[in-house]
Amino acid sequence: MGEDAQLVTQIRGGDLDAFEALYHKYKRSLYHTALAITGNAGAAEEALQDCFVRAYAAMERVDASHPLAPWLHRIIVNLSYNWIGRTQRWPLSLDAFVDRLLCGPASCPEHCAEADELRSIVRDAVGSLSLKQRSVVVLFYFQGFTLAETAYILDCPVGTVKSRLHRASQALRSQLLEDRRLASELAYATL
Amino acid sequence: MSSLMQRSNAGKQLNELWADDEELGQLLRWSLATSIGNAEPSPEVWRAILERVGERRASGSAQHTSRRSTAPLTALVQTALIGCVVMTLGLGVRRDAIIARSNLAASTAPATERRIQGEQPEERLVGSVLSTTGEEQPYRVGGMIQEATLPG
Repeated sequence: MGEDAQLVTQIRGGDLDAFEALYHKYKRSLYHTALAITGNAGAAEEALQDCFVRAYAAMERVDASHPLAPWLHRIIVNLSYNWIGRTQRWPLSLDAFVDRLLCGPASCPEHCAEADELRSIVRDAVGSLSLKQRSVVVLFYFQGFTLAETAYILDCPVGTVKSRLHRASQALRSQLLEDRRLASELAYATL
Repeated sequence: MSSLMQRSNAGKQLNELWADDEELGQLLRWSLATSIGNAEPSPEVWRAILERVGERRASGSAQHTSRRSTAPLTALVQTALIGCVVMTLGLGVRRDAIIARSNLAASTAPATERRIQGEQPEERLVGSVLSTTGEEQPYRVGGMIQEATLPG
């Protein structure tokens, strides 16, 4: 029996420690997914909370023979979409959140400036994608789900995932090529 | 001119660099992981989850208990209702059978005779039934229906 299956069995028996173990196992990846989709830390925490409350309520029905990561991500992606639909807020960029994160007490030294610049460029490019393309990129590239798992999470056929990934890649490439900051940095580096 | 060439060279390099999806994937993974990879949800989230799950468990067990306590009563009411329905149906069937039999016994006479029971056959034949009702009947004069008062 897998670790997830064992936890599910214990949770079904009323074991809250097992539920806490499940939470700590998946909280980071779920939180990162919600954060990357919504671009809002508060919304990501709210989605994480709702996700585990719903997961607990549906624990009797879940198929414990499979890993729980795709199922939990499916819940949190839907909750993130709901938040965007409810607030009518388009997740343009993670910049505000990331700036707060990076400018804390342990902010990076000056020699990280170039890496920061590149990160910022890529973040902007990801932020310019449509919501569906962005979700596919986050799940496939960032979270490392397979095409089939991504299709399950987004509740669409694998072919749709492939086409969204293809379009997202094209959009990212053209966005990165058009970015003057990156072109000038690379040109400077080649001199 | 030289800046244009530099830009063109840079574009070529970027094209080559991200022609492969895997390269682009690596760049995305690195960018997102270093941007938000260290982000953690606050401990408040787990506390809030625990609170909501606790409420859910409490309300669930309360519902379960109340369901168990009302279960015998519900079963009793259901049994009584079913009993009533069965009895009603049973009596209805028997009554139908009796009525059918009595109807059968009563319908041995011809239908025309049953409709005006109590009247003498000769009265019907002479039409004296109409004259004995006491009601005045309209009559037709010159295509118009007149009141029942007879002239004279």
